[in-house]
Amino acid sequence: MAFYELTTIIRPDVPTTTVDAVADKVADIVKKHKGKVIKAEQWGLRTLAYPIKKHKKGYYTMAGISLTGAAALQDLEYQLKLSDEVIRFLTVKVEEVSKEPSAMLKAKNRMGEGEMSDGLSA
Amino acid sequence: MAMEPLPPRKPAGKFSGKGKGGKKGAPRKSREDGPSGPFRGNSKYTPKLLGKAYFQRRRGCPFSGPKAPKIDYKDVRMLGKYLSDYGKILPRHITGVCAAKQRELVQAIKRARMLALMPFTIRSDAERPERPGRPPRGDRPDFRPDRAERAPREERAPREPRPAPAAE
Repeated sequence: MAFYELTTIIRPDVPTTTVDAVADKVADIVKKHKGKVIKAEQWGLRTLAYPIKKHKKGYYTMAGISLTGAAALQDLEYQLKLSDEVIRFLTVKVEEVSKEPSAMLKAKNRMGEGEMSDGLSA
Repeated sequence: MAMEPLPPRKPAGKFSGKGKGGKKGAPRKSREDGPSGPFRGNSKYTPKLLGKAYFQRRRGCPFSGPKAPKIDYKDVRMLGKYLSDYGKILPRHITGVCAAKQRELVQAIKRARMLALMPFTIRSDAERPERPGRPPRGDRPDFRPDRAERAPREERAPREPRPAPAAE
């Protein structure tokens, strides 16, 4: 069994419920392969540092998951690749998934929403 | 973001530190006066006079040690410190990161770039002043309306009344 962090960017021009729908979909796939979703984070709507498929913003979600075997991860990535709502995703293998909120959420709590990305997009 | 200005490089120290510093030998005179101007009173290259920047360079790797932050692709704030004004990854000799951590750092920055958390490049054309020596389009000699006027050049040459004012 291995731990992964899956970050996805969802296109901004969909209803907000899609963000949850994608998270559910990920959870379903993970469950299908007898894995676990250890933590799920939503970073909200962020300004992208550069446009992706002509979108300038995107909803970010991050999930810490555990999966067994390469086939499981392949299937998960394949499904994400096919989905229209997800414009970018990244899976990173990690030693362990920490229970604490990630640096992104900490930064967001420290200062008001949306201000984080301002310095980068300039 | 701008880094701390580096201390002046070798030339100043090299020339004044070598040989008979105070006595100004004839051939080397210009060199000595030039780069080591502020330190003229003291012939030796004195680190004290260089101030803060000189000592700050000795600081160790920011990611080594017990209280060091973890290198994480999600920590955009932290990674941003290691980018140049144009969004390029700063080299180790400027940031002082050790080799092993630099490899981690580069990996993290590249991941953050894939997720559009960080830019691959920052364009600052708009902020840069206009390049000198390049006239706006209308004034350029190769611009077409101009060329049309310039075509009958042979005609113009003979009736140039230039000799007249010169003679006056």
